[in-house]
Amino acid sequence: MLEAVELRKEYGQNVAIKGLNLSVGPGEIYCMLGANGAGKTTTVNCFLGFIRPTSGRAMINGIDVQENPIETKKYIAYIPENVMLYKNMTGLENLRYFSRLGGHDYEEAEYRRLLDRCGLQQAAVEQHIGGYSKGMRQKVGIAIALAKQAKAILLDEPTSGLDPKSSNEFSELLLELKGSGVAILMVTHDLFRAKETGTRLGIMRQGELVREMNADEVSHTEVEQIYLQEMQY
Amino acid sequence: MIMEIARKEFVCLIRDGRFKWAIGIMFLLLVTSFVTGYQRYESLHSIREASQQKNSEQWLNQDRKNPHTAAHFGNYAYKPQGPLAFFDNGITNYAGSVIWLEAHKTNFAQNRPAQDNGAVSRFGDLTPAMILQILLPLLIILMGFSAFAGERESGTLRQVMSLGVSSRALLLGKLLGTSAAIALIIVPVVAITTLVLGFGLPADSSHLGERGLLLLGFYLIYTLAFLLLTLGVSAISRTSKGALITLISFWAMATFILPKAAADISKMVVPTPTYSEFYHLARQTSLKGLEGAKGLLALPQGRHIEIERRNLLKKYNVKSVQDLPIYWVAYSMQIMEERDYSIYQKFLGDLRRIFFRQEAMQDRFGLVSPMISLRSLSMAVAGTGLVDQERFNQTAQDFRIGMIRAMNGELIENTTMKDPLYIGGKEVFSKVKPYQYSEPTLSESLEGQRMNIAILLAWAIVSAVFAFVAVNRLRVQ
Repeated sequence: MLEAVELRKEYGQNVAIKGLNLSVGPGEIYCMLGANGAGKTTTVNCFLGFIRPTSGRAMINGIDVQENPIETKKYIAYIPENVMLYKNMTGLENLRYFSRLGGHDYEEAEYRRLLDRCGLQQAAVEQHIGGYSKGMRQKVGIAIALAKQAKAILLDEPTSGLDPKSSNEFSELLLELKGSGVAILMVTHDLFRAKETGTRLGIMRQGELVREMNADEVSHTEVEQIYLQEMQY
Repeated sequence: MIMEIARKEFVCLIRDGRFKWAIGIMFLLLVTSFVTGYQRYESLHSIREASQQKNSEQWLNQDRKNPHTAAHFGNYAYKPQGPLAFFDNGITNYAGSVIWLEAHKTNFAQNRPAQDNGAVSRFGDLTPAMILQILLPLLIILMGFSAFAGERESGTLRQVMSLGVSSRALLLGKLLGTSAAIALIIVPVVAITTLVLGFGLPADSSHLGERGLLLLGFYLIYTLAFLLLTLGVSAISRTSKGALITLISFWAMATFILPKAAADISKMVVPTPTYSEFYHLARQTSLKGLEGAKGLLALPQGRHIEIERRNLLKKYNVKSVQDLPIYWVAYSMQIMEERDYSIYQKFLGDLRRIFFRQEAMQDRFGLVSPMISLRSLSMAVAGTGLVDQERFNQTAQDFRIGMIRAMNGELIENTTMKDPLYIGGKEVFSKVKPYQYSEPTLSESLEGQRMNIAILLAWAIVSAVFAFVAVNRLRVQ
């Protein structure tokens, strides 16, 4: 569903991604780990078509993102580290707006159900986003992604700002989506959450995917050890 | 999708406190300008009507006297204003609105309202046209400068673009949404204007409906051009602050600096003769003869009269003017009047060409400021531009020579050198019909405005192309 083929991105002398090969299939959660500046977000941006790769291809559902950016976005949903919404609109209005832009429209009750499912308190649904905390905005962002019913989801530090309970609920949501065949690429620093929810884990260092492992073949401690070991190079 | 974006844009704008303040102030200014514009128009209209009426009565009811003396008593021509003058008073404040028409002398229009006002009048009257030309673009800039740049800064653009929204749809949606918000200003303006024109104003105008629609069309094109320009600049600017600075700089240049510079440059390139230069030259030409003219006009005044005298003696087969069956003194005065009329027509024509050349030169600055093109079009359609002023001047001078012909004609036909006494009354003065001004037709008003129409349309087209190119290169980061 999500595929990177010899993906490379250079900024002048700096190489952000060095020939990345990656594949995330339906029903799979790929957790991309790595230090800041390792090229994780650049990879996500290549899948979103926000960055033109220097060489190689980012493909969604077999379609090259650069060749058909609008078409490929039909298949994906995206949750950034900081979900930014329109301050003069309520959570419900934001969800309805983004959902319609994504090509889906529901009854109001369904929108409320989606927000409830993402853990947003009922009282906040009709409040303007200006009064929302970062965590509340994240929950609306997750609801937007769910409303899109996408075949693939790109997540860039999605649980950033969420309290532990909400993070846990989010992990359960991800597992639900995985069960329904959604391909998920999640960039995260949260090793514990990656091990808990991920199918496969990948560690990026200086633009390279230096290590890949199946999540069920390693323990939490091993994930941590491998990660720290790779970061020492 | 476009309608969804438009709806969201509209909702966010009208919920924005800054927008509420801006639109509130704008609305208040517009209402004030309508009220003051209406009062000014109504007051000037009634004063002019009453004055013209009074003048006609005074002319008819003056004491019995020699008709030539009556021509010295003279008449006044008052320039009536079309109903749309309340919307755009054009050059009314700077051009005279009344001309004293008397024997032997060609006068210019007098009573310029700007002469009675202080320095503040240099900013122009608070008219609906002035507000729409200057302040509406500012409102558009304040509403649209962050349309793309602000969303990029806040991160919502990234969120929107991740959903597969095309940049073109985004532009059209924002264009529609912002237009709907601007309609909150435009619709009341159109409604009030229609009401005032339909029921409130005391004067008629030819093609009033067409003129109103044309004005609406020109102002809509102007609004659209500014809106597209604002959205385009917002799309290419890295920050909303940068977009705002760029747009405000352009606005200040387009609405204040360039119109003033255009006026000054046009006067520098095509200088206007001073009042004394004009009269001195015309007077000298009358005495010495008009260079390049055919016939008697080319001769000095004395020779011209002498030839006319000889021709007249020959015609009546007499040896002395004393023997003529007509009054030679009146005849010779009429020769002088006709001579001066022709010479002044030539010089007034030259002056008119200077004014029109200056106007054409200013209009070229429309290429860098759409407001200059709109201003000229607005004045032309409202009937307060140079075409109307010059038509008034010309018809008044034509009326003057007609009045003098009639009065001198009375003397010529009814007296002789041997019996020169002649006193006329109402029966003589009524031969001069009251001055009537007929405004230019719509096509006459628009004659000479083709360049401004083309420039205004070009602004809208170029702004649209710029906006589409800018959003096609839209970067979310």
